[in-house]
Amino acid sequence: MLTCKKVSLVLALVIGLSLLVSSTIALGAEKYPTQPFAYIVPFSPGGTTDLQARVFERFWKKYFGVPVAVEYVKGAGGQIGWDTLVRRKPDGYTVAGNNLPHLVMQPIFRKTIYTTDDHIKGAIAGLVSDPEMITVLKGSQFKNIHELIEYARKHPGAVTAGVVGKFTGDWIGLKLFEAVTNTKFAEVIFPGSAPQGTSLLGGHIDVMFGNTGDIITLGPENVRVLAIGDKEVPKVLRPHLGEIGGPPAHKEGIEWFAAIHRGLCTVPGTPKKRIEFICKKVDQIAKTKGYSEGMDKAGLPAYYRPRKEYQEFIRKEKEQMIGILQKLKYIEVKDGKIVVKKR
Amino acid sequence: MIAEVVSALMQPSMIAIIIGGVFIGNLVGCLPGLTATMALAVLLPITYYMPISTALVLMGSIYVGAIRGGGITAILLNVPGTPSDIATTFDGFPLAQKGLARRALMMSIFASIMGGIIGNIFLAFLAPPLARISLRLGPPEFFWLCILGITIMVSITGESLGKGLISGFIGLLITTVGVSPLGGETRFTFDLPQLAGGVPIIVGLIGLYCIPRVLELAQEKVQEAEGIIVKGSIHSEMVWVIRKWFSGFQGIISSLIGTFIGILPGAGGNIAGIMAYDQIKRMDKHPEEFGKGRIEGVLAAETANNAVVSSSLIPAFTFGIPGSPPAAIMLGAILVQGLRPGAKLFTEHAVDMYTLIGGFFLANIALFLVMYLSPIYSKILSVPREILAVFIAVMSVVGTFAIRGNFADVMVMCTLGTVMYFGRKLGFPTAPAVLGIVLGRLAEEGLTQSMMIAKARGGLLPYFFGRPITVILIILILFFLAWPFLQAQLQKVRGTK
Repeated sequence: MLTCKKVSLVLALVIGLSLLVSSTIALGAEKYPTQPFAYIVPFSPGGTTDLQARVFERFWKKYFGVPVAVEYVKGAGGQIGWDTLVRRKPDGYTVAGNNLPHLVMQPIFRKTIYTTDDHIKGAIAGLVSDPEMITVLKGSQFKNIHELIEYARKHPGAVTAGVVGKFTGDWIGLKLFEAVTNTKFAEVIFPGSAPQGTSLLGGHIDVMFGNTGDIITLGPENVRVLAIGDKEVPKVLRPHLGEIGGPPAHKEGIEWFAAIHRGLCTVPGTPKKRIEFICKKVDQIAKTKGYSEGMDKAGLPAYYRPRKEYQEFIRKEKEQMIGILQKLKYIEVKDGKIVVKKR
Repeated sequence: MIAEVVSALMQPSMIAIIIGGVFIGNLVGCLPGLTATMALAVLLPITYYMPISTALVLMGSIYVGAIRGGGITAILLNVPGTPSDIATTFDGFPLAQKGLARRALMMSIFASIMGGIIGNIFLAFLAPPLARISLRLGPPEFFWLCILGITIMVSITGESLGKGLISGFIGLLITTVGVSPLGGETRFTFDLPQLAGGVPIIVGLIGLYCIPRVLELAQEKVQEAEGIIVKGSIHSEMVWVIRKWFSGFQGIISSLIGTFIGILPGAGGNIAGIMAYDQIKRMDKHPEEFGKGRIEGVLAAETANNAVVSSSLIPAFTFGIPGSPPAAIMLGAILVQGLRPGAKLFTEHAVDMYTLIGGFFLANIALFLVMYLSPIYSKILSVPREILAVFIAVMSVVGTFAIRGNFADVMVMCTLGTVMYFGRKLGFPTAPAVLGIVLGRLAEEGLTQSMMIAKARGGLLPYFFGRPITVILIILILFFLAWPFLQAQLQKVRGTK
């Protein structure tokens, strides 16, 4: 009897404990998020993608209830960061800044672990649309976009145009501009916008294809913007308009539209509920006044696109880029497969 | 404004930050594999929550401390704690072997203080006009500057010009792994996407420096049981080195070389140390004694590499091109806070900038305190060799992985290190390979961009070889290439007389 009682007592204890443990486990499973997030920045500290992460960082704890830690995983124009992202656990605790057209172009021209579809599956939101701008030094011989076009037509390949990286937003911007205006520039590729800007200031290149942040870095007093590849002038540049010029190209009769876009995504395969949770919180942050002030202060032209819209946008961007690359004869599409042409 | 700067610096919390930063930096610099760049990068997220001036002063103090801390390991272990201390090993370690470790350590402290202060004076007064010099350098100048750096390095290692050049070129080749920075092509990755990002400089440095050292330490236990003993009075040695520093022009010349190299983009403390070392060696009456334990060698290297600390911020803050890797992180720190480099930084944010400059002065003065810590640092030596080897190995692996969490980097680091270990056995010097890795991308960009621009501007010959600064650089390169032969000829002539 005694032993029986003991056994039952032990049994009851074991059952009770295991119930307790399992219930806490179950509770834990429902509770999300419980641990800090990782925010992968696939570029250098201090770059525009990093600035974006820092704007979020300020609000993360308040809205998500847990902090976020920024992680720099740079290399190969963002590829190393995105390759890292898709290999992380899809538990809803990792996000990464992503950039267009980078994430469309890289898988076409190189061997990458990530695919463009991964970014569509994990898309959280589009955050920034930063138009391409054609910029010269204040003292340049080109006073407006028409003078530049005229000169470049008369002297093909004699005007040096700096872009950051090949198969990037800047590069596509240059190629589109050449196609639209029937001109030919001597392309000079830079590894980053800092050396590109310095080369412009030093007079080593004539024209620079860059973005909003570059104009602010170079100092609006030093440069003149000949054309902007967008319908309107970005809000963050408007205070400088008197200084820098900068008409949207289409208002000058040139149908040139080019921009790079930045957004946020998570690991593809993350449970739907968790993706929705992140989307909801990011949405809330993006609608605060502090966020838009932070974006303006960092010189980031905010353009918010919720998940669905951003997914659609990435798909469209992919189609458009493939079209442009085909036209420029960099690739061919054979039986639905993309073949890179040897040049 | 001066009152604001002084009151900001005189706050007890600021003083504590400066002293704490210098000590942390010293420790970091002292541990091979942990560089100033890494320490600052780790700190970057924390600084975001600080006022700009506090963040900059803390980073500046750590930078100052780390560059000096690297000198400790350079002298006591023959391992540069940071890349800036490569030239410190040349004479620092032989001095320590001779029993003059204390003197070399004191020299490295005082030389760092003086170099740092002189570099800082330039940051304070000559930032805008001096930065214009670097702006005039275009792609061809950058290319030739990189080649000059490697040539100087090879020409002074003095052993074999051929092996030195091969080592340098292998370093350059390593930087071509991965996606090309300009053309976007993938090169030498064996189809492994993990290699697409190439070999980061830190990975190369850790591999080439730490792994051969780990293997050698493991062997040394049998070969060389005795460690280096640090003896002698701290104060009398300090007085001796202060007299020495002021007794000739070497200190001033090294400071100026360091400052100039610091202002040049990319070329950091490592090149500054080597250039100054080389210059002082050439000017000396007994150049043959260098490399065998001349205190002037430590003086030149440590003065110049600390002069870089402040001066490398000149191009970073005026045009956004950092003069050294740690300066790049500090540039990141101001960008994160919404500040932009340029003339406005010194007008709108003048208080923050001059607080940083004042902080640099105080951090250099705080280095004096470090001399009392040298008993602690030299304890590194009483640690058994095998434990030290394991410790360096662990730090190397952790440090490499921590950069971007890429395990391929660890494999690359170990492979490079093992190859370098055997290379050293065959007499190939490490330093040119390291410099090749540091400068490779810059050289490639310079060459490729020159070719692109030359097409539009009248051909490669005049653009690449004909610009005034390139002509000077090419002449210097030829001179340094010919130097070992000229030197041999001179000695022959003297010998026959």
